[in-house]
Formats: sequence, C-alpha cells, structure tokens
Amino acid sequence: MAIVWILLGLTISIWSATFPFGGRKAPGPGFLPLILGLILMLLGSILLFKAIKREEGDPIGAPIPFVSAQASLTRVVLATGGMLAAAALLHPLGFFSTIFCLMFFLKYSLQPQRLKVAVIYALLSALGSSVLFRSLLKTPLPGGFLGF
Amino acid sequence: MDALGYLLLGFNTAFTGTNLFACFVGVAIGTLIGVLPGIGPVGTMAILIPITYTMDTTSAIIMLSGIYYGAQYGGSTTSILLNIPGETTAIVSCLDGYQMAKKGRAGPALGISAIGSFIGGMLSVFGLMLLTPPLGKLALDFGPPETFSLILFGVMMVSSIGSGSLVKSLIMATLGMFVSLIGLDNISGFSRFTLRSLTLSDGVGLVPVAVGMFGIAEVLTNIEVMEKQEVFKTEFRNLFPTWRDWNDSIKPILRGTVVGFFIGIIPGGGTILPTFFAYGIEKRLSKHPEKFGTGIVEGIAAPETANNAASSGSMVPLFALGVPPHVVMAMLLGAFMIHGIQPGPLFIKEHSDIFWGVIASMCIGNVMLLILNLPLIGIWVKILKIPYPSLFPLIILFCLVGVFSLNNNAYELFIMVFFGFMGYVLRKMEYPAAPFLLAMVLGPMMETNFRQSMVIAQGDVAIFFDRPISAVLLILIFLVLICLLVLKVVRKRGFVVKGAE
Repeated sequence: MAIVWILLGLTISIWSATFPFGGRKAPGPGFLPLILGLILMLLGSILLFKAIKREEGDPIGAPIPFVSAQASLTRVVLATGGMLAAAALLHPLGFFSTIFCLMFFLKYSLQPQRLKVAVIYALLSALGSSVLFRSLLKTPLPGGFLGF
Repeated sequence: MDALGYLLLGFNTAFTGTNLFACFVGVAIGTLIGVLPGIGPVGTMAILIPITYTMDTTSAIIMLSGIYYGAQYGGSTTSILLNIPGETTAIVSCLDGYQMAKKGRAGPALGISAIGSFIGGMLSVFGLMLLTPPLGKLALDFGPPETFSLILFGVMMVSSIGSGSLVKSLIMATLGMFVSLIGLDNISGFSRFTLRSLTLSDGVGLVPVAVGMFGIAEVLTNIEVMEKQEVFKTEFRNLFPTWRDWNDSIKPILRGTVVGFFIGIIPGGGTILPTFFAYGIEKRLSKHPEKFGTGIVEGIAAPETANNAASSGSMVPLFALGVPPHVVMAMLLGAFMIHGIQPGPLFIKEHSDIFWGVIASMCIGNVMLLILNLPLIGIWVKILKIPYPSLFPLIILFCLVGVFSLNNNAYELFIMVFFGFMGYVLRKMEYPAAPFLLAMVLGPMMETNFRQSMVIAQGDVAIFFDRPISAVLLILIFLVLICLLVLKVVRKRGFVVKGAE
C-alpha cells in the first residue's frame, strides 16, 4: 500500500505543478496541493521503510490478513456491484423499479433465502421507501420510463 | 440580555411543536442507531442531512444533535446485553455491564447507565452554556494565522490520539485534505483536479463521502461475516438501582461528568477517550480495584456518564471557535454550512436563537432519552433481535436515497460507492476514517486561512510564531508529536526487553 501512496503523492505533485503556483507572498491554487502531494510521498516512504524493516525480522506489527477465514469477499463484491448497478439504473428505470431490483438482489443473492420471501421483502422495501420519501418527505425521485 | 434571559429565549425556541418533534425524532433515531451495532452517528447524520434541507436551521441542528447524544445512550444497551458495544463509546461499558447482566442484574445496569447518562448530559449542557460565550468572545481576536494553527492543531490531535498508526492517520488526513481541494479554488476560481467533470467542479460533496466511508464501508465490513447474535435473556422488571447502587455510583457519575466534559472539549478527545479515563480514575480511586471487570455498578456509571458529558463538551469548540474537535462534530459543521451558517466567534451573537435553542433542546432531549431508555427499554431490546441480513439492505437503501436526494445527481451515488469501497479496504488495512473526514471538512478553511496569512505577512512564515495563540498551538502540536515518538520508543524497547527475557 505504501507504494500506492508514493505514486498518488507523485501524481498529485505533478498535476499540481500545472496549476498557478503563486509565490510565498501570495500562494496560488497549486501551492497547497503540491505540499500535500509531497507530504503524501514522504508518509508513504515512511510506511515503505517500516514494511521493509518488518520483513527483515522486526517482531512488531506483523501484517494482518485482509479477509478473515470465514469471511466472504464475494458478498462484498456483490453488494458493491449491486449498488453501482442501482446508481446506473436509477434514472432510466426509475426509483421504485431500481429499489425493488436492488433489494431483491441483496436479499436473494447475498444470503440463503426463499424466492417468495425475497420478492415480498423487495416489494415492501420499494413501496415503503416510495411512500416515505416521495409522498411524505416530498423528495424528488426519478420516475424512469415507467413513470414511477 | 443575561444568560438566564437567553436560556428562556432558548426554551421558547425549543418548545415549539416543530422543534420538539425534531428533538424527539433525533433522540429516537440516535437511540436506535446506538442500539444497533453496524451504523453510527456519522453515517446516520450524513444520510439525514439532505432531509433537513427543507427544515428550518434550528430544527435541523436540534435533530442532528439529538442523533449524536442519543446514540451515547443507546450504545450501552448492546454492551450490557450482548457484550458488543453498539457504539465505540460504549466499549468500556462491556467490562462491568455484561458481567452485571450475567449476574442477573441487567436491569440495574441499564438503569444506572441511563440515569448516569442523564445526569452527565444535563450537567454538561450547563457547562456548554457557561463556557461557550466567553470562549467565543476570546476567539473574536483570532485572525487567519490563529485560525490556521487551530485547524492544524485539531487535525493533528485527531490523527495523533488513537490506538492506530500515526503515519496511517496522517496519510488519511492528507488524503482528506486533498479531496477537499477538488473543484474550484475558493480564492481564484481556478479549476483543480476536476477531470472536466461538472459534478467534480462543484467539489466532492461531504455527504456522499461521509455516507460512503461511514455507512457503506460499515455495511461491507459487517456482511463479510453475518453471524447470529444471541441477546441475553433477562427480566426488566427492576430497572431502578438499589440504594446501595446509588451510593456506589453517585461520586463516579459526578467525576465522570467533569472528566467527560473537559476531555470532550479537547480536539481529538472525542467521546471514546473520556470513557477510558473515567473508568481508569474510578479504578484508581476505588477501595476495591480488583472488583472492576467483575460486574460492579461504578464500572458502568463512570464511563456512561463520561461519554454523554463529552458529547456536550465537544460542542464548545464547534460553537465558539468553528472548529470541530472530532468527526461527528465535523458532520454537524457540514450541516451548519449546508444551511448557510458558519459556527465560530460570531455565531452566538448572530444566531443566538439557534445556539440557545439547541442548548435548551438538549435539556429536553435528555429528559426524552431518560424516558426512552428506562420505561421503554423493552422496545430497543426487541429491535436488537432483528437479524442483520434483514437490516443491511435497508441501510443501503437509506444511504442511496440520502445521497441522491441531496442534488438529484446519480453521479454522487458513484462517488458514495467509490468511497464506501475505499473505506472498506482502508478499514481492513487499519487506516482510520475519522482524520480523513475531519480534514476534508476543514481543508478549504485551512487553505484559505493559510493563504490569507501569507498575504498579510508578505510571505513571511514567522507570522505563525509571532502571534502568541498561534505559536502556543504550534508548540502544542510539536510537543504531542514528541510525546508520541518517545512513547513509541519506550514501548518498543519494553517489547524487545520482554522478548529477550
């Protein structure tokens, strides 16, 4: 991860160099981003140095496993994908249909569930949220091609 | 007008139907999210900020504050009944609370927790009332150098105080500050890091980022392992503590109030640190320290009081100086700014109705919370039994609607999901999210004050050391960093010596 920070810091610094830098008397919009990029590179380097030192046998701060044994990374990926799809479909499909699909997907694919239960759960969630946000709280929500 | 007159004005504001309702909704939601492990006050406040758009500013702040201090009440319920803190501020309450429940004394544990929270909450509101106006007056002398140093102090303290790595916290603060710079430059109007996107030209919104990093990331972490939780079966017939319980806990409650309130004021102090301090002090002062952790009432009275007192204490720097001492206050500052109000030295003078209205609502809110958490505790325990697999899709739904309704912009949903996934990955790698969000909120303010200072001083950085307040703050930052470094070396040496033995 340390290398990611160093590279990100480098990118920010190079990008910032294209902005007006100003001077010490009147720092421009490129001044602080450049400083931040340099700080990020410095901090990343410290992390990298620590990681190298740890590999050389420093007992403190052994690396932690990213996902625990019983954990399911699949669920995380599915949930993230579902949310991204919902974000993309919200305008064309409309609020009700998108929420119904998302709730069904989350309930059915992420946990063992009977189809009927998942459909009822999704329907109630979509209906309830439509009533709460659209009717009661007057939140403007997209209708999509179906109009609701 | 004197303080009493202002307080009456505050009660006049808080006692309107709308504000009473806002207060009730806030404290009820606060208790709910406090009880439910898996969503905290930051995520909830972020989700609800868009809903407050149509509300009057006073009602909005009353509701959002209610969520914050309400969560402190609710957090202890799961600590006592499940041995899982509903909020991080209730971690210490697990030690004696759960042991009391195992001994069949869950009722008195919940009772003393609610009563301690009430006393701590009420007394600290008076502290807030007395301390904020003079501090605000003092802050009137602050110029750009002082404000810059104060913000730097706040960010550094939040990054330094915590159990994790200082370097990782500082990386998060730097990233947060970088994200806050995306968009048009405040002073010159120059477009920075926008990739020619119209959405990014407006800057990266606080709400999508906060919902992502504190709402979505939390859900993603929790769905990795969805285990069934067993709620401790207990009777709630006798919630009121015995006379002996009262006797044992009254002093810890009073000490917890003082400790909580004053640590709450310190940037980075938050509401977690005071609970550990209060518990530690009680253990040190106790005639029977060996009994701590075995289920004694003092072990729950002190930390539960301290976290509530700290929640009021942390509002002092926000209201008086405009600088949030921790991430929840940063969200509240974000809410103020969305409503076009800047807390700070002039806040009490220019918006006395909001300040005193919020203070009065906190007194009312604490009474509401006492009722919600004593006679109605059974409801919250039933809610605890809702399985997480049925709950998390709804949390995602609220996150989506909350972010979308802010600007009716679906691109902000992508930003939310991006920061959610990033927050999840960083959380797994032990990078704290709080410094990121705090730096993001304070970033633009910090940049503006830095640039103004440099213009005033004609490019001479000595201005930050010439001004006494600024110099003191910078010296404090330096001292804290030195202390942390020394502590690290001492710990490391201790470890090596132990290892050698």
